Amino acid sequence: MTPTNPFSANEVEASFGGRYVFGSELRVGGQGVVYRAKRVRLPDGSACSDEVALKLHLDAKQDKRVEREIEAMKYLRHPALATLLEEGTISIAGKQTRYIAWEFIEGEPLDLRLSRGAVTEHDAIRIARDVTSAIVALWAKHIVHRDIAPKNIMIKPDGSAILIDLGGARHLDNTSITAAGMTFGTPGYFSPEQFRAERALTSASDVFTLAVVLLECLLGHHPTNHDQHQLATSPPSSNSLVPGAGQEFRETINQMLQLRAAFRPPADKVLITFQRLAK
Amino acid sequence: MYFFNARLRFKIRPTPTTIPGSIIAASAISAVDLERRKFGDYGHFKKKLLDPQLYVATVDPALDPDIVARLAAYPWFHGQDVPKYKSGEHGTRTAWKKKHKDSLVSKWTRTVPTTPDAIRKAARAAVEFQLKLGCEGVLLAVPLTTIADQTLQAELDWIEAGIQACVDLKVDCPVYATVALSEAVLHVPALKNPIIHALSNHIASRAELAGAYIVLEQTEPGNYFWNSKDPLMALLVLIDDLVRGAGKKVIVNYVGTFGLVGNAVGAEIWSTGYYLMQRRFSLKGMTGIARPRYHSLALAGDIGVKEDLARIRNAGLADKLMTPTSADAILRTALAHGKDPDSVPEWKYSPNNASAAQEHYLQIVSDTGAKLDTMSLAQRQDWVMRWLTEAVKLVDVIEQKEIVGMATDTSHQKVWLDVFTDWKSYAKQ
Repeated sequence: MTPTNPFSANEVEASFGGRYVFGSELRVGGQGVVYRAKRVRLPDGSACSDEVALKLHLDAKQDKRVEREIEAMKYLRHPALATLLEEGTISIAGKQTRYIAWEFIEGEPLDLRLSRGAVTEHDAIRIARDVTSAIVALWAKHIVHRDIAPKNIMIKPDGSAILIDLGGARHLDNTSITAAGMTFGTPGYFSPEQFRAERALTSASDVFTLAVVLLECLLGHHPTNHDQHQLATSPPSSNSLVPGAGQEFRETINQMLQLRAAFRPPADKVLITFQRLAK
Repeated sequence: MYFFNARLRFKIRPTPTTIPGSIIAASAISAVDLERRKFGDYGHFKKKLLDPQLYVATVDPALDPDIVARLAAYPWFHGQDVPKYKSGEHGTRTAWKKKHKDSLVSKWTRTVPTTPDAIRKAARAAVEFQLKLGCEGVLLAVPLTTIADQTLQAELDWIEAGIQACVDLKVDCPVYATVALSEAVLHVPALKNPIIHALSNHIASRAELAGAYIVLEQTEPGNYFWNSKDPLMALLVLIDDLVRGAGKKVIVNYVGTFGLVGNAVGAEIWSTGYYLMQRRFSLKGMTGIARPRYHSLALAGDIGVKEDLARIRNAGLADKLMTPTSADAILRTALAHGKDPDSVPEWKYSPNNASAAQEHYLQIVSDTGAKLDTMSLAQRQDWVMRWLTEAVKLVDVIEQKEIVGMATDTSHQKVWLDVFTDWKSYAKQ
């Protein structure tokens, strides 16, 4: 069944007391609805002019996840991470609803871009550089994104990439939030340790998943056709899948795809490589 | 590199091959004594490490109140409010320890601090103490992993607090996260044990850490030699993950001469000592009476001194099984002349007569450690393969001839060889 938005645009706009001018509905999903909007006043009443993606969280069962996302992003500012501008709870048509206003990112999600085919190696390296820099920034705060997938990477018109949706991000202090035996993320993009439902993940998990995304960028399709078992037991090699790609890029991807997390290069070292390759 | 697992044994007879460093155990020596100890007199303390042993926090005071009294006075347990020793007020340190022992033992909770503030203070205290002592590196205080709980929340909290303390204190020596694993969490196939990979993953991901200090807790307190496959394989996988995978350093302690295998897999430092409590760690048994045991490098084990050595001599196997050192020269001469070990006072099988046996053991481990230090990793692995293969052959020979009893260790050699062989084949993948 296709999810529907239970609120009319007028109801939503009215609930914010005119602080936001609502535009188009960008996405409706099981967890919520995202509008493009313009914030014209801050909560304290002072004037502003911010283009935002305003997300209303409609599933109360996801409250903990939303809280985590807020906690993760509240004080984090990074060019490759979406910026959280405002969050709170508002009554819409009598229903208490959690909302987050994100900086609006002009561009398109990577999954949409890949539906048209592979990207060039140069573009893939830029994506690699930007997403790795986001992973490094998150890990500096001991946060693991846990859901790096094309749908969560926005490509801006200038080709730079932004990592979005930190709803699954986990801080080391909160390794016990997910129930034992359960894992979070997108099937087809789990690291081996995520697939085993290990709970004490590190940035090495995000590094692995990014490598899967990069292969998908170069191929124009998922490297194992979303066969998660293969990914977690016998990851593909870039040498056979994309032999035409640059040797250092391929080798770095292969290292990122090591089954044993400790054998993967640290995110900060991967970043140095991608920064150099992107020049 | 071999380090003497001194615990509290500062005075040992010098070995022909200098022992480059030693590890002190908090449970073995009182803080008031340790703080005032002079290290310059002992060559094997040229490099020293202090194991804060937070992993002993659950020890039962009924088992050994002296150990608890010693541990409780360290500020990373519950010792933040331990009265300071002042010679003018308390007289001797012995008097101070006597006065406060009961109170310290009564405060022992058999738990580690759990609130963030308490962990922060305790972790910092452990770092500060080691810095004050002039340690070669800092071993972060981390509790024992006893439950197969994949969150590792307590361990990670302590590691993070320790790292933060090192950052705050501008520590410029290597910092190692203690990985103390109870045997209870290791009896699953090592390659499928998520705890092993999660721990190596976390240590690998922290640039602030030079590596890990690994201790395995043995459930059965009387075993001198680890003889179960999964825990030993877990140790090798952990070392391999950290050294070959993440480029970190590893110190391994309390696995006896299996430390040589750890060294061949990549551990930078391996540590052991002669006595049971120096060879293995068990919460169920921290002390014991020592009788002489004859260590044989060829057998990768100990030979019973009371009866088995003479039987081995009678079977014409002494040359193959005995490892000549200056400490056993008198024993070998006596045996060659048809005498029994009991005729040699230094090797007489009686309680607390283990000085010569200790000297012999330390000569073997320090010599062998130094020998391996001159080799490449591949050469070490070849050496270990030959060593264990030959040891297993010798076990077969003495078992076929039925010449030794229970006092001679023959149950672990095949396990060690199998573990090493399995690891080699795993590492090739």
